[in-house]
Amino acid sequence: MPINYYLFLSIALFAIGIVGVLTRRNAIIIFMCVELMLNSVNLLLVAVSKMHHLAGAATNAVAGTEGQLFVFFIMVVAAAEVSVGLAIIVMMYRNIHSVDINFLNRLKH
Amino acid sequence: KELFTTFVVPFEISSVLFLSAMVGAVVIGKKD
Repeated sequence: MPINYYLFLSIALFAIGIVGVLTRRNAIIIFMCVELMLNSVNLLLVAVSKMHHLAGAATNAVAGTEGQLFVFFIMVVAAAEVSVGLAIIVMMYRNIHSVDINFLNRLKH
Repeated sequence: KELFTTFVVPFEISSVLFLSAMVGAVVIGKKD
């Protein structure tokens, strides 16, 4: 169980998510990249919690489960944010009939 | 062994937040 692999995977996913949010033009893809970033942070927290549990001095009575409890709250916040974000996208589609985010550029002219 | 006796206050706050987010999503997405 080499923990370095989980760290590198989480960092790679986070970097891909950041590049995707800044580069893509479709609003739904941007939301998926935000969810990707949130899930990469969840993976990192669970991996570090496992490392704490293994390297703790008292492995029988462990208190290294705060990371996993925080992951639970992060998932709740991510679900709420996805629902509100998709409601915003649906309203945007109803008004301008496209999910292109360059519409805000057109407001400048 | 579960820590829900120690961390019950953030649990309740996050549940209220989630409920308000659901209500907000329904209010935004209404078409009448």
